Amino acid sequence: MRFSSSQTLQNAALAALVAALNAIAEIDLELVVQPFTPTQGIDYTTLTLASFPGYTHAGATTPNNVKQIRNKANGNTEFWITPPVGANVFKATGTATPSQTVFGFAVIAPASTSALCTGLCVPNAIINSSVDGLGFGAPILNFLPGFMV
Amino acid sequence: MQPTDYIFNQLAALLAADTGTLAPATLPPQLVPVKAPFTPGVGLVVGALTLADFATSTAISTIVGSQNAVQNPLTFERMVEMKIPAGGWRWTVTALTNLPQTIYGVALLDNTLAIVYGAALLPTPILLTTVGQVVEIDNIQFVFLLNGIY
Repeated sequence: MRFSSSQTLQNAALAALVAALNAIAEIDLELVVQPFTPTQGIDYTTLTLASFPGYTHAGATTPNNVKQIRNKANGNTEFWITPPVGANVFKATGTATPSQTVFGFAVIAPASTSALCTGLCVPNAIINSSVDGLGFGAPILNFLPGFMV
Repeated sequence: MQPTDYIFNQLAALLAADTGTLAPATLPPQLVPVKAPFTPGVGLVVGALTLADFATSTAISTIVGSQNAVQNPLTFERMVEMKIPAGGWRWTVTALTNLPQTIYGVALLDNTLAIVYGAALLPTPILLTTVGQVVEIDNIQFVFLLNGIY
């Protein structure tokens, strides 16, 4: 029988998840350079990650790297995955051969080889010289007020 | 962003093991029948519930410790399913006291019956009129919606 969950229970679920995410030693934001479809069941090992000269993933390695906030505009609860300032700016230091087109990004927990979430960006952001780069804001997971029945 | 199985699995597993709500080591939550109409929802509070008082409608304690984190194979939704205690989620009328009485639903409360964790309406309210009649539900499920996170 499906029960309608109370605010107390939903708050407990969110608190437990944010604590668990913050207990992960390292969470990385990786660029994906092959077309893909973000799905719930995506296998992170099938994604082709960027490898252009100068590329390093943006790692959020410190405790409390996931912030939980309530968006007052829409009532959503948001988990902001916050890499160190500036770390989610990716800049090439040389020309990739062949050139690489960024189609999206994946937030992964490398220790468990699990993707936490994935997303698409404007494609064809070509990394082909030492002057190209990309920057992203913090990846956000949105929890609708009714994320539980 | 599109959350992955990892997030959904974690949500279910963590809530199923949450010692502050559904999975305490002692003093577990209790299930109670409700004898007046109510509206389940995120804002439901104990004060909006009129607990049943037929004999014997006493609260049924859940099993202490971790509950079951499972996935519905048809919908792929993750859920927490409360472990079923011996005897099930069942109340049998044992005396005529306070009858007739209509049971509209059930609510899972904390051990002190002060905090609502969840509630559900019966498909059809049950009018109890005599000894031996039964109110029973099959299980207690808290479901995470697949489209509730993005």
